[in-house]
Amino acid sequence: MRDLIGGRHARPVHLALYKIRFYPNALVSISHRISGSLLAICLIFGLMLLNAVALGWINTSDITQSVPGKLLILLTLSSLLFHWLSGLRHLIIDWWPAKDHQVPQAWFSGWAVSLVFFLWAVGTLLLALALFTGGFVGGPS
Amino acid sequence: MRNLAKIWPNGKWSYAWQQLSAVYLLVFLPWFVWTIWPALMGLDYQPAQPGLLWLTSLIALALLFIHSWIGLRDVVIDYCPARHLPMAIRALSLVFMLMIFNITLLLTRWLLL
Amino acid sequence: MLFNIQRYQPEAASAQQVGAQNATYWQEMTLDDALVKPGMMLLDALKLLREQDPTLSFRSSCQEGVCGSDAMQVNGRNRLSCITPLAELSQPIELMPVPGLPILRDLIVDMTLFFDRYAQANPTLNAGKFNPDQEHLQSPADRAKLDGLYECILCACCSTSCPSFWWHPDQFLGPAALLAAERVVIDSRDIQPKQRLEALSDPYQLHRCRGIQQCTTSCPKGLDPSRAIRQLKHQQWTQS
Ligand code: SF4
Ligand code: SF4
Ligand code: FES
Repeated sequence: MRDLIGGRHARPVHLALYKIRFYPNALVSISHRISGSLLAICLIFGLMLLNAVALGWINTSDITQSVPGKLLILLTLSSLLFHWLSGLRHLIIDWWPAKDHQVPQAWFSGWAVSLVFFLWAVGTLLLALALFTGGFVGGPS
Repeated sequence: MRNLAKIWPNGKWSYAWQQLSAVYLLVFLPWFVWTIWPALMGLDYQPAQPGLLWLTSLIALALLFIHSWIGLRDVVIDYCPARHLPMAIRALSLVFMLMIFNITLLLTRWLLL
Repeated sequence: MLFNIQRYQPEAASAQQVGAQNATYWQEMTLDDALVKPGMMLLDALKLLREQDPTLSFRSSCQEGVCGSDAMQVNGRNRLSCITPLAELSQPIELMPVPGLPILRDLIVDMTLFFDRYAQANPTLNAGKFNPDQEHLQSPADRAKLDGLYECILCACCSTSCPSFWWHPDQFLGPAALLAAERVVIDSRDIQPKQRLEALSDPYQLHRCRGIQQCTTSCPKGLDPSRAIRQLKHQQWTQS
């Protein structure tokens, strides 16, 4: 479409995103998308590591006990947590039982959005603590 | 196969699958973590109902692939310039097929050992 | 009172042979505070500014928020200049054309893509074969379902604030057109809601909407296109 506007009409188009005000809800929406994409990347990476373990190239402990491995786990779990939280809010809005899908504005408010980010930050902090100060040894194997 | 092609890229169906898989994973993940918590804590752990754990995990795995496929396809449709889109979708499908093949292989191997 | 306006004059741009994307420029304009009366709207200020510089271009018609011709981006938000009180704007007031559509001149954009999507949604009631002897009656309850759907003035504030519409203005119908689509789908007199819903089941026309909610927050008439879109997505399953 960008070709469509730029090319055929040869007119400027205002899409300077930094000049546009995004509402709190848009922030969750794009973060949901980013965390989802990260999860997909982590899935591919995780699968590669799993193969390496299965082939005996590395040990599970190489992943769970090394700093890069722990960071990968943290990235995965933290993205998962965010995706889960924002997805929960998304589903609640989508399936709001009231008649005519009239969702109370509170669910779109800055408060609801801040709550998602707050819970995610706390969760990530706890995960980081658990990972780097012991606790997680490895998945069920 | 033709019918499948009609269903998969279809917006109505992908919306429904996306919602369905999201609800399942939303409930499954906390339950899963709760169930295998002892193992995560490094304790010796035998699941009380291994059959149930297996079944629900396998469903979750399948739905996870469906969910991420639809999600990634949406991302690609949104940001990939139209003239590269068919190529990008094909590449994405290839990656997914490889992943599914790989997972199946790993699972069978693990089960046989 | 200070204004910062993004300008675009196509003649000047082609004379300078600059690429279209670089041909816009910013201009600061000042309005004498003595001219600013209490209760003044942004549109009134723009008209005064146009006396300073007659090349300053913007659309307007009804001047009371019913025709939908003067949507523009005011301090980052899409608004109708005629019903935007000057007093509530922080200075310098930053004016840009609405995002995502080709700029024709200054604050005027080409709405073709927007109206094409509206036509594509086919928002005309189909009550069956015309019969002059028979009225198409509707119960008050069914009529009430149209509230919040029919009041749209097609100003494009919503669609042009929607990221999905920016990326696919040629394929995604956008909130305004989808609001109109829902208005006929839910109308008890329409005879083909199922076909209408089925026609929207591809990945683009309806399902590019990600529920970002920019549309609802931008609508100057207080409508909720996002709700209409959720309804459409659900009706696709409940009504077929
Ligand atoms: S729904 Fe609201 S913002 Fe969108 S075109 Fe109609 S009146 Fe304008
Ligand atoms: S809710 Fe849908 S239509 Fe409205 S701004 Fe978001 S993506 Fe666009
Ligand atoms: S001039 Fe008609 S809506 Fe503003």
